[in-house]
Amino acid sequence: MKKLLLVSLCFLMLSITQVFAQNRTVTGTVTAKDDGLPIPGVTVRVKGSAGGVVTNSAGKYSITAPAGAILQFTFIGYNAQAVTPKGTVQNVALEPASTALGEVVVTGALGVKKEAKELGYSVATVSTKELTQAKVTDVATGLAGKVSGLQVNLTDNGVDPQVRIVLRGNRSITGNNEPLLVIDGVPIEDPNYLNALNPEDIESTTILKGAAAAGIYGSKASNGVLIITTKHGSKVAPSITVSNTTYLQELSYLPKLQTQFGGYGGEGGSYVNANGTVNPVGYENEAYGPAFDGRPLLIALSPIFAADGTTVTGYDSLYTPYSYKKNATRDFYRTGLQNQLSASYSAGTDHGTFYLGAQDVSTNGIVPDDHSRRDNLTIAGSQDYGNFHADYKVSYDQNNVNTFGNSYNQASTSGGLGAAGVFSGRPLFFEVLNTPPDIPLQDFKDPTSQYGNPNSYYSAYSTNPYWTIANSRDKRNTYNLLGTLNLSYKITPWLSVADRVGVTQTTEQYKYTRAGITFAPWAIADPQGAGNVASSQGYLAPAEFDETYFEQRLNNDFYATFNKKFGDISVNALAGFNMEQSYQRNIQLEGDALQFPNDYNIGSVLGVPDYGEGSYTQRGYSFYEQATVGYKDFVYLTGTNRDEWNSVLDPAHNHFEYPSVSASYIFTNNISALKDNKILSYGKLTAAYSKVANINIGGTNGNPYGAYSLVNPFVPPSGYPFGSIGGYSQSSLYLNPDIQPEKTSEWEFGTELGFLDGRISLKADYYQSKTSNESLTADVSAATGFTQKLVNVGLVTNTGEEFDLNVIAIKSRSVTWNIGATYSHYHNIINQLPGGEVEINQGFGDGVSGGIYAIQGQSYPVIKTTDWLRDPATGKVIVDPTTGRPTIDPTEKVYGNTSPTQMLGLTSSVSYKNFTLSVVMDYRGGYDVLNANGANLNFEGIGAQSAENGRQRFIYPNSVVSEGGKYVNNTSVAVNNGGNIQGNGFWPDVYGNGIGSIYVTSAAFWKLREASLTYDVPKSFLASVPFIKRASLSLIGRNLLMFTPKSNIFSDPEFSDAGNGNATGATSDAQMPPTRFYGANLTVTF
Amino acid sequence: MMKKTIILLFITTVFASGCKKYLDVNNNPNQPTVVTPNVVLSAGLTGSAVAVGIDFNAVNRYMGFWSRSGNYVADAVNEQYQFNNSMTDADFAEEYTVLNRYHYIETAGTINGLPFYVGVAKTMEALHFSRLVDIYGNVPYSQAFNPVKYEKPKYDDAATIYGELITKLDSAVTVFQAAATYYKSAPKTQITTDDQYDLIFGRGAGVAPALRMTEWIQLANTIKLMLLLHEAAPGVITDAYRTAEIAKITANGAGYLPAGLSAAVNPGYSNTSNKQNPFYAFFETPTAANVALGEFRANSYAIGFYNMGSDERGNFFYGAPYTNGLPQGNYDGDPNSLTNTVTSQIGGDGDQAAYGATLANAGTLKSSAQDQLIISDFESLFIQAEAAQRGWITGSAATFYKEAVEQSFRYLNAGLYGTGDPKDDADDYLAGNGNLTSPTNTDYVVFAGAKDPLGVIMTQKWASLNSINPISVWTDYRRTGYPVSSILSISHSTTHVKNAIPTRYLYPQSELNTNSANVPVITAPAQYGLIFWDKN
Repeated sequence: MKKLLLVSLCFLMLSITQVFAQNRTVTGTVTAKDDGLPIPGVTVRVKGSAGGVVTNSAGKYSITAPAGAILQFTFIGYNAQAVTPKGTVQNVALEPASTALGEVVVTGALGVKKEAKELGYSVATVSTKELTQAKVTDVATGLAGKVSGLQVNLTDNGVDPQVRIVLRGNRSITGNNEPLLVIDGVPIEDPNYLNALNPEDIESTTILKGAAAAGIYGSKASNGVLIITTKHGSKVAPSITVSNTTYLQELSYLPKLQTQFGGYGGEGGSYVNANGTVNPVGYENEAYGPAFDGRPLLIALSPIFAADGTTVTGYDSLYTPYSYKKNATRDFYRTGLQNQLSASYSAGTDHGTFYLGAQDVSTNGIVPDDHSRRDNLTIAGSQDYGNFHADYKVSYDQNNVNTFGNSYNQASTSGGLGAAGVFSGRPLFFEVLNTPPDIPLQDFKDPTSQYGNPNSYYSAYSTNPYWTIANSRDKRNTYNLLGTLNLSYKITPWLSVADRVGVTQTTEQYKYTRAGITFAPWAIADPQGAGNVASSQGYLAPAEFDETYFEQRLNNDFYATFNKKFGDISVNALAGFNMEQSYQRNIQLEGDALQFPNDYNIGSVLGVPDYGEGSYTQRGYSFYEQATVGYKDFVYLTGTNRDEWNSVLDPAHNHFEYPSVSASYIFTNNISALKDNKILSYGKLTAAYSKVANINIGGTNGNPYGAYSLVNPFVPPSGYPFGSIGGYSQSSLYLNPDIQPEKTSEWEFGTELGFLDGRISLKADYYQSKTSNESLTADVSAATGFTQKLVNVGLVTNTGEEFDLNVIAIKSRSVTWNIGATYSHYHNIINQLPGGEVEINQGFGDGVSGGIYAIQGQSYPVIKTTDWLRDPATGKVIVDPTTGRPTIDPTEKVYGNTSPTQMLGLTSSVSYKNFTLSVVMDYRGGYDVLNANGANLNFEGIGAQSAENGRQRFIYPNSVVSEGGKYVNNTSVAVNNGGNIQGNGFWPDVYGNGIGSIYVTSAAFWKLREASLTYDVPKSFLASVPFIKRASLSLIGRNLLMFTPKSNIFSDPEFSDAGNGNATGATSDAQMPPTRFYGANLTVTF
Repeated sequence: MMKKTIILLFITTVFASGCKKYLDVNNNPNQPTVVTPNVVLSAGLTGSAVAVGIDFNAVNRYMGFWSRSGNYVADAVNEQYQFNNSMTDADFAEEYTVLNRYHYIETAGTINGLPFYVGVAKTMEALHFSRLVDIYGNVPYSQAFNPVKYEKPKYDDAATIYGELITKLDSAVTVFQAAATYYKSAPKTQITTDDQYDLIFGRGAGVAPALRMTEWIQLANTIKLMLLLHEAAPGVITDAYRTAEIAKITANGAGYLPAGLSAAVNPGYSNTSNKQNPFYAFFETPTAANVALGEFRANSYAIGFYNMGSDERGNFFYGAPYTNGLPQGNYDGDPNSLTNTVTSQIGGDGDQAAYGATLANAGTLKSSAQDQLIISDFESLFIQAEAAQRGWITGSAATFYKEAVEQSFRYLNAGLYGTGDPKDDADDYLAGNGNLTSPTNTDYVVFAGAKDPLGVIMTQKWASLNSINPISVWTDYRRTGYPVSSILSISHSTTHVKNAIPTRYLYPQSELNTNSANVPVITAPAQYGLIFWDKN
């Protein structure tokens, strides 16, 4: 023993001697390898010695170490590094630790962080880097293709598009199916609020897919939850990041258009010459004229006035060669320009953090004069004071959108607020498309010019789209304010209480204005005998519509968290109380006849303006509890419950419970044979069951929150009040005091497997949810005095499988290649729907019959429309033995479902030295879309389809004719009138006239959604500018490519006539054509 | 754990008391949930105005008043009589929607002891239900207006409904009589309020309640006599029943709507969106001429009849363009229909310049503020003429007939010819002299010594109610066969389901969707099924 002691002492002496002899001071900066930013708080230690130093807020350290000693750098979340300093300066870049699968920390419900292994249900996270790699302005669009089970649709295109987000498909037939958005712990119902966030402010995004995960949020979360946590600053050296992105936006696809035939509407005999062939007609918007031959064609007149200025003595005539004007339609659209400038400042000390973010997004759309500007300012931070913690955030966002409105037409009418009133013109895209290919549309750019003005415009039946741009404007200014404050106090190390307050306020100012037109007397006299707009309308009064909208949501959560280990058992619990209130008020004013042109003030309305006011309040409160009990590190059981009371239901039904249970079993931590297995490094099995309810009468009662759905109101019928005489009538919807929430129960099973030390990870989930008590407005016999009644009926089942695969394909010193794939298969069926079916939309656009339906025994939603009468034996189309034309079967049939049953997302990120190439592709399939504008294209003779047979007679393909009571293959009867001679043509009368089945196509697509090539400027380059910590340059693109089946020659199947509503599956010319974005980004961190 | 429990307990105690109150925010601040009958009455009457004014307007085509224009494509449904179930969905619903207002008025009026409202409700219910029966036959009646108990109301027998409507009208008369007494002691404010919302006979404040009640009784009597006439065909009702019912009318002493008193609604129509007279609004908007003027054109059947008797009213039912001073039309469904450049539009004010006349408020489209006729004085007079001709009521059929035609001329302000007083023009016309040119045939004009006096009355009733009350005319045509086929026949479409004017509409698709078990099955082609009073 003595000997041993002596030897030890000797060793000790030796080392002391060494220290005394060769010690020196080593200094340096520790940075993070991923973002190059300095890391404060890193422990630096001489290997083998006790103690050590910690880097300061600038990431700098200074330590005395013997020569040749090894310095160890350790910091949570980063791989430890050991370095032997060569000199007295040693900078170190730490690599972020690749956490083992189960240890990823997930922000769950109410902001409570949990390790992934504890979770018994499916949760997905999207890193901010992945989310913003393509510099999206709306975070929602940055999620597309990156999460299994998540469907993100850009439902329209324009300067302020709407997005529809659905997790695991549609559960509710007419109610809300979009997930709940939670920002910093505060629920915000409408996921479109994402568009009011600066994507650069986001710290993490978590998606709770199933009801089990979401149940604790109560009724609003029955469709899953998107949890967004924003930056609050970090305890690192202060840094400023400035980023500028410039995007060009370009029209990518137009429907296929014909290029051979010009204008001729076919109404009268005078346009048919002696040979029985047609003469082109210059003022027609229907392109059924003869084939182009280059002759000069009179297309418009402009009067020559006598000295008195009113008497028309003759006409100037505008001629154009009767030939194809290449790209006249396409060139209507310009290249859009978007500039995003963001700056953020982040700082922190040991006791607090601060974050300031600002963004300016200015967009000039592809339609001339379209522009929008969004400005966002966020201030956030946190403070710790002993056991007390506070964090806060205030975010202000304003979005000013100025875009085109509707045109006017022959049948423009007025009356009624909104859509029924001054909005009743046609969409701009219709007017652009509806231009025969011989018309030089660009020549009419100036709507005040000799031939661009409404009196002289070439088309007698439609509006100069440039007039619409200049005179019909839609201005929407939205102001959003979001504030959160979270206070918590740690009573003991294992028990904390917290209160979180959130308020969101949205104010919207909307003004729609449309100039009037006093058509010139000569135009009303209709010198070409066209039956033009001027003669039908005579006068179009200036009109305007105003809406002011205010919404406020208040939310307060008071909760306690408990976290303690009892031997092998860990308990992690939470209990809380929530109160929330939503309030909305809007005022609408509309005048369809103003005293003065260009004085768009409601005070200048002639007569009495239409007006309306609505105000809605909804409140609720809940108690909720959650507990997770873990045994060792391989079994976790979680139970949650929420008791909710809501004001919109009758007191007899206004309380309901949301219980859920889930379990997680990490067998690789349990079965000793699997422990530390290199091939299967991680394995988890999960199961969950939950019941949630959703008050979903808002959509059916046409009333936000579903308030006031119990007692029937009286409403003024159209026209009331007449002076001092009021009038009130029952409404057409019979309300129902017994209405209850929709109820969903869901099973979910999953597994998560990690292979090769986490190089490959695979997640798979299966779920089945059943939703009953659908809140619907069922049609009732009109003899009840009402036409609809609010009811709870039906049963909808959703089942699906989801797979997420992540592979680190290459990981070497210079090359890293990560590949991700997500695949979801989804199936939905309406098991029960008393009454059989419910129409969800208001029919299709462009005169196509049918609609989007919910039908018992079918998937939801489905297209229902008309088809040809067919031979039941062969399914071939029956044509008339004399005209050769098919006939519409008046009974509408069900066509495909309109929700994708398969979704595949592929992401790839390759880094080579300082270059990183990332791409996101996705595929959706197994569903259909009805492209209503196809009917228009054929009716107008503009579409390529209508010129397939060169406007000649042809035998309808795969048709049969009746012969002696039997159907035989048609080989001889050609359709009469393959053009449109005397207004009886096949294409406008048959193909463009109500039939729907021929415009139903597969909605499948492949899209290259995002691509970015980033170059990180090497440190050596930046050495001369030491204040720049990091710089990167990227080339980026969005929606670069789209591949659709050959049959879809129309539009982007992601679009929807229903906006972000449930009735997906129909597009029309109410949506702008698809576009692609490409541009560059420069990001510099100081 | 203990602390958690304490906190929870605390929260529960604090909030449980306040929670009930916290949730008490579900009272609708936007719309009333209880209203007095008066504001529903105004809504009911304007609803009736819309229903009578423009619903089922395709009947104007079958009755030879309107035709399609050559600028529009063929409409097989109405021209080839290819009726379908969905063509009247909206109109069927509208009738019941309006009836539901009267149902509420009757209920609320009874509870609150407001006899006048009960009387109006009963009268208007009789009118609307009789329209429904005349169009569809059996319809929901006894189980209507109860979405809780009878979500699928049964269909009642048409003849039974008619009987109940006649009883309802009797009870309306009794209630109006009670109302006259009620007003003697009613506060002035009540009288003024009731005046204001009585859009038919209120005519603004200041009409003596007793007079107003008499006028309502006259309307109820007119409707009752009309219903009895609908049942005029032999074997529909017994003579004894008819005699007894007419005796009841006679007994109340008020008589029928006389010349100069039309039942017409006007809440204060004006040239503003949604506030125009409904018939006017069908054709024109406040700011622009509407395409409906282009969609429907004059029908050659009616024009032929007016021309035959040299009846200037043709120039008032139809407008420009005129050919040789006369309207020009199409036969509905004619494949060679003329375009709008040569055919007359619906509603005219004569070709005044050509006749040197200046006539304000002329024709059927006088102005956006015109009254909407429900039952016009001339319709009432034609009803009385028919009843007198049949010997059911006292008075001279010839006098009723003359007055009826005079009032028709007056309504149109048709005074191109002569002194400018429409009555003089009417008298000239009735004397067989014609207004514009020499008449070619006055068989259905001159009443004195007519071979077919009932035919004269019914044909002139048809000619007078052009565009005004097509349903009434259609019912008359079906039950009496007038106008005869030389004056009015089927559309000129090349094919028809059957070579006859349809005799009923099909039950609406909405009913087949929601109430199929109760909807009666009508033998195909259902558009040729017969209403119970149609023994023709």
